[in-house]
Amino acid sequence: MREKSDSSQILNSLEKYNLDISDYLPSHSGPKLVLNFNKITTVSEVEGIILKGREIENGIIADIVIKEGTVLEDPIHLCFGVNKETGLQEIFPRIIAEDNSSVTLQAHCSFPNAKNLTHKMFGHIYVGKNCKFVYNETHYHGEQNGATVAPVSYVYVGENSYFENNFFLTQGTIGRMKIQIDIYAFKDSIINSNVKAFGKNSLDSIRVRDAVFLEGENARSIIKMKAAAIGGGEVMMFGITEGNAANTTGHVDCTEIVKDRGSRCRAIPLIRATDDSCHITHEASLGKVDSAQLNALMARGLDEDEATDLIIKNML
Amino acid sequence: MSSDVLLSVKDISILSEDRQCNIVDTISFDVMEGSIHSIIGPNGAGKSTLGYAIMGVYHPCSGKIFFKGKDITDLSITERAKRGITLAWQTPARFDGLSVYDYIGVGVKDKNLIEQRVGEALEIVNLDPDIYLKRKVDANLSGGERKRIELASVIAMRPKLVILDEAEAGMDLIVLESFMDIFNKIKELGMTILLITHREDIGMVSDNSTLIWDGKVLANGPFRDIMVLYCQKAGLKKICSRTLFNQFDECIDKIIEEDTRENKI
Amino acid sequence: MKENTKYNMHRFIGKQIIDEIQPWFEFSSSLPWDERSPPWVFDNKVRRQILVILSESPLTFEEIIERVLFKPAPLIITKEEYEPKIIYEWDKRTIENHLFNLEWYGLVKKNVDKYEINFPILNKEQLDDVENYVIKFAENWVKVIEESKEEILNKYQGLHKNTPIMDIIIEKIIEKLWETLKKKGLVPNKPNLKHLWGEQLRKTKFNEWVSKNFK
Repeated sequence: MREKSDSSQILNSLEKYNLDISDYLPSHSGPKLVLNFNKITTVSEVEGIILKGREIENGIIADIVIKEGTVLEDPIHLCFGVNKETGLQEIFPRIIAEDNSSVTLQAHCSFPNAKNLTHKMFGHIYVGKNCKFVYNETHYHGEQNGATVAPVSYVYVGENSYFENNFFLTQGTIGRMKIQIDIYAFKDSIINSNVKAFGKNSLDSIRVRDAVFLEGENARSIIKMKAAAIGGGEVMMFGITEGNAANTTGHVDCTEIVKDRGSRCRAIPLIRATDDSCHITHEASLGKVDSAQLNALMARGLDEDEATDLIIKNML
Repeated sequence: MSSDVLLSVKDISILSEDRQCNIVDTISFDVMEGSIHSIIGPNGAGKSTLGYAIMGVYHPCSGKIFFKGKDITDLSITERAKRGITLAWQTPARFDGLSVYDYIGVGVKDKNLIEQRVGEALEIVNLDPDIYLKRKVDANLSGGERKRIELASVIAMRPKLVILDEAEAGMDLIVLESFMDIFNKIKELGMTILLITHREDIGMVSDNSTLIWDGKVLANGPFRDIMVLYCQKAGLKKICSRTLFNQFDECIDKIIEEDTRENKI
Repeated sequence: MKENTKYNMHRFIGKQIIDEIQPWFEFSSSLPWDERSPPWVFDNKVRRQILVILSESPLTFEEIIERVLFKPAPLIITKEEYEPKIIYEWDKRTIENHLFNLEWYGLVKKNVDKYEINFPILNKEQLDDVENYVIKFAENWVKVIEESKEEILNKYQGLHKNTPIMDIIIEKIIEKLWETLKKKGLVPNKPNLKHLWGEQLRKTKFNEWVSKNFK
């Protein structure tokens, strides 16, 4: 096991959000890569994976390879954080999970002091055949609406593989966020993509594009996008599913809640097919909270605001 | 059952959405504290609308509603809930991500009592807390499970008045008997029940009833008397009598006994 | 699936040159809302890749299938350290679907047994050469604009200070340029919508008939 020492101030900021940071500490034996701005502070490999990072001017390039047949019980932890108030961070990760592997990747992006900070990520994930790949990404952007974050990911999921993507952005303020994830699904693969985001005030703007292209026979996908725009925040969710191969099925579900004057939301589920045997569906709803849910909680003594907050909190 | 009137509905009328007709037309009745009072009537009579109006979901175009002697006609749903009225919905809402524990505990005022009350409530509705506490109140629950959880949330809240809107809807015969036990347990806990139903066998648990037909009250009184009138009005060929109800009970007992013997239960 | 009906002829292609705002006008973009150019076709990387490989040379169907497959490689891990073995391949039916799509939008056409790009491709050398003309045109424009700028800004001073008057003028210059070049026969003759849209034609005919009989 190769390891660089040093705990990072970023880890302290994760603790502030009541997150268990023990997995990120050097003493923890699981695989991890911890970054503070453009300094790699911890790299820890285990049998079956190769983790390699190179520091560049404003960030890093990173390769993560999970070798053929590797089944990892512990998730691989990636912590990309910036403790500064201003600046630009650029991350270029390339993740390759070879055939018959099983892995969970837990990525945290933390910018606790961001006042005028930009984070860009351009990543590729390549999943081989017969794999299980779960990618969880959580973001924490401090309380000052000072972060501009733009991650872009291209994912290819090989035959008979399962890919799950969970993107959560539900603590602190958001700032400006523009997320793009494009997934190409091959024969018999299954895609399960979930995005949850929360615009808290008028300085928050979230735009998400989650696209799945079904490129192999019998490929299946479901995209679920949930968001809440409150206090004048803006949310736009763009969910795309395109069926290009035989017998593919896909579903896009966009749900957005709007609360408070000045809040704005848009949900655009887009479904397309170029093969006559595809079955692709969509549903979208946005606006105020469902009145049946509200009435149910108000009949137990909550007022409308409390009921709305509870519904949004649990939805996200 | 005490002799105090807990809820008094005076000449309530509710207009339809298009304001063309009265869904509920000058309805009056009283609910005694500690009793089970049923609102009986056929489908479309206006029973659920009446129940929702008492809860505050609909506002009557005329008439008054009094609770513990105070006029609550213009109060919001939340205000009525804080005074001790709640409703178990006929089709309970489902919530993405909300746990059974949180949903049942949401009405418990004393936060120190939530865990105890939630556990008790689940046991009363015959759901194992170990299994159900961690589950979510979402589409993964069956209709029957969701109904029971709805009842549990009402029980945990310990309101003064519980409005049960067709709590038995969708339940099979075997389960019905356990529901009637639940109603009795709710009464034992000191709550008054306003039971909205179109089923005479469910109404059997009630002390008093109000018969509603086409939005109007036909009669108020003890349940047995109301049932005779209901059957007559409905043009039933059988005569509803004490004998018939006893036969109904015997029939149920026989089915349960047979199934127990055959190890079906 | 390609469409070869008579309505195909009425699909809107090219710059709008009708005076009257048509019913399909979209106010956010001032364009017809139905597709004038196929943006969603380019959304898919596979289709973009097909266009890229066809831009090098026309290819048969089987050759396209072979060329479109790819093997991902790490960014900094060298081949000596580790070489991944993943290959992504597309089946025939899927590539066929992509090609149908590209053909329908006129981006690709089939010539005997080979598919080829149906729009001009400039290589790097040609692109650099074209750049010289672009610079020449732009510099001349800039000269004219510089001479008139003060006059324009004074004239339109009354407008809100954030109005991008030069942006509006430059946009209109481009429109006028197309119009004038077309009149001089210096650009390919694209079909004039006035003659293709039956609705417009009917309205014109109706107005003429009304004038003739009732005025």
